[in-house]
Amino acid sequence: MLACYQRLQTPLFNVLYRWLWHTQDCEDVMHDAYLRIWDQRQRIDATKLDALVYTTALNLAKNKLRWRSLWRFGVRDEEASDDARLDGVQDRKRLKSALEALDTDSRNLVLLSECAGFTTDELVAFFGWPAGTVASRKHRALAQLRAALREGER
Amino acid sequence: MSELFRQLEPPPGGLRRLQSALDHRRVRSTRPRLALACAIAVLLALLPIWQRWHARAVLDARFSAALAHANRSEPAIIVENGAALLVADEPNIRIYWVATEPAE
Repeated sequence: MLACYQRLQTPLFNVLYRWLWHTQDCEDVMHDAYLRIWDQRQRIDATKLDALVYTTALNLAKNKLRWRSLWRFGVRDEEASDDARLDGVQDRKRLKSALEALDTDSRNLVLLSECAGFTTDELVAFFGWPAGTVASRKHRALAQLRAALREGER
Repeated sequence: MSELFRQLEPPPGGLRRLQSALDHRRVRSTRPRLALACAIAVLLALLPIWQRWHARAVLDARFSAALAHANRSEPAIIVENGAALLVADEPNIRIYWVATEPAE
């Protein structure tokens, strides 16, 4: 479990950060995801552990976003936090709004391939779609993202 | 695209935090198992004692009931080898009146 954490912490953190945009929240989600998986360790297929980690963490991130939208007053000012130093603030704003324009699957497709380095085969296994569908949806999502980024520059 | 998805390093300490949480869970998950094992061992040790006590209690109850019945009704008395056998309702219980003559 700890070896898996060490192996996935950087790519997983990068994927989660592009959902949550908050370092501490990303860390909490990763921590909770691994604890959940630990609790179910008797029923887990070790060959699918990595995919399970990503699925669990992404579901927890979605829950956190839902919680944030319900409790708006509880959300800290991200621009003022240390996280703003991780990226250029302008780039981050642009990327954030461009990613938010994508639907959930397209966003995960882009993030898993660009931030976590998923190959096409890994994406096929993760989403359960045929390879052709993965390729076309990835192409479409990247085109959509580029268009949104260009829009943001203007 | 790649400069926008620049690789960010997660803050240190995550692994240590997970390690201590898992250690805590391991301890927590063995405690109830240990308590359950102890409880089962105690029950297994007490079972034969209880069985003996229960069998004795059942026999006492049946004997008391048979004796009460024999005292209440007019029992048929069969004399066998100097002992009087009271005929009780309970077929598995025999009640004898035994008397000896006082020594001269």
